[in-house]
Amino acid sequence: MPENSEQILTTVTDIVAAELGVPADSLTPETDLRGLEGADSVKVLRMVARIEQRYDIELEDEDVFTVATVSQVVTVVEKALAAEGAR
Amino acid sequence: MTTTATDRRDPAPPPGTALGPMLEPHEVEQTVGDFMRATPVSRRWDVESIDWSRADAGRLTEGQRSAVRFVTLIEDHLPGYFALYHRLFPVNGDVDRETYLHNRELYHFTVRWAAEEDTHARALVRYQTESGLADPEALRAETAAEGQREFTLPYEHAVQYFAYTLVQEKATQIYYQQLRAVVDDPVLDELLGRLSRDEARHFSFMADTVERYLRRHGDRVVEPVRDVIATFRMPLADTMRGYWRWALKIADTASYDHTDAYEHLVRVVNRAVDTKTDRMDELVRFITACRTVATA
Repeated sequence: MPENSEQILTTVTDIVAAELGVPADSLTPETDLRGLEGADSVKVLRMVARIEQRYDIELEDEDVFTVATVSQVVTVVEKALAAEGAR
Repeated sequence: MTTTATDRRDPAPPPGTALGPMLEPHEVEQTVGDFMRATPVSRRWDVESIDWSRADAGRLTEGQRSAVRFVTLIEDHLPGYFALYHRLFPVNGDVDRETYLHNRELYHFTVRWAAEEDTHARALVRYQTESGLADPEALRAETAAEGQREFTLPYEHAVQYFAYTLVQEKATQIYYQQLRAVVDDPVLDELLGRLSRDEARHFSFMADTVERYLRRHGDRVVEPVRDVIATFRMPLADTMRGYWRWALKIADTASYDHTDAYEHLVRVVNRAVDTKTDRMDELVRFITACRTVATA
C-alpha cells in the first residue's frame, strides 16, 4: 500500500537525520535543510539520492536544486510517486 | 584610519569582476613565484610524454570507465574555468592601476595553471581513445556538448574563488589518488599519478593565497570563506543535466568524499593565525562540522 503524506514525512525525516548527522527529533517540516550545520549541497544531494533509492523514483533536477525544507522534499516525493503511479 | 590600496578598490569595481579585499600585487607575485619554483621544467610533462600503446580500458570496471568519462568532461571544461578567471580578474583598462597590477601578477599563475589543466583534458581524451574506451568522434561530440555550457560560481569576493578552488583542487587530487588505488591499467595508473601531483601543486598555490588573505585581512574574509563551504557545489553541478547522480556514483567508485578536502582548509586557517579571534574559531568549528562522519 502506498505511503500517505505523514508516513513519507517520517521516512524523509529519518533519511535527512541520518545523512546530515542530526537527531531526527530536532527536525520539523519547516527545517531549512541547507541551514543545518554541516549540510552543504553535496550532502543534500546524497540525501536526495537515498530518498530516490528508498522510493525507486527519480526526482526532477529542478526540484532537487530548489527544495529547501523537509516538507518541500515530501511534496516533490509525492509528486514523483504520483507520476510513477500514472504510468 | 589609513586607507590602503586594497580598500580603495572596494567601492566600485567594474561589473562582473571580483570584489575586494584583495592581496597586494607584491604578495601575489611572491605566491606565484613559489608556485613557479615548485614546477621546474624538468618536472613538467605533456601528453606526448606517455606511452599510450598499452592503454587498455578492458582492464577497468564499469564504474572506473564511467569515472574516466566523468573526469574527462570536468577537465575538458577548462575554457570555461579560464574565461571565468579572466572575467573576474581582468588585465585591461577596465580596472584601476592597483587592481591591474594585482591581476597581472595573478595572470602569470592563471595561464600556467590553465596550460596544465588543458594537458589533463588532452591526456584524458587521449587515454579514452587509445584505450578503446571511446570513439574519437563520439567523444568530441560529448565534450563539445558540455563544453559549450557556461561555467559560473555564485561568489562575489576574490577570496571566495581561491577558497573554492582550494577545496576543489584538493578534492580532485584525493579523487585521482583514490581512483588510482583501484584501477588495473598501468597507463591509467601513470596518468592519474601525474594528474594528482599537478592538482597537489595547484592546491598549494590556492592554500598559500588563502593563507595570505587570512593573515592580511583577518575577520573581514571569514564570512566569505564560510559561505563557500556552506554553499559548496561540485563544478558543473548546475550545467550538466543529471550530473549530480553521476558525480555521486563515481565518488562511490573510488570511495571518495569531497569533505575530506575540508581538513586542508582548516589547516590553512590554523597556519594563518597565531591567536584565533572568535570569528576564526567559529569558522574552524563550522568547517570541521561539515566534514562527513565516516559512518554516515
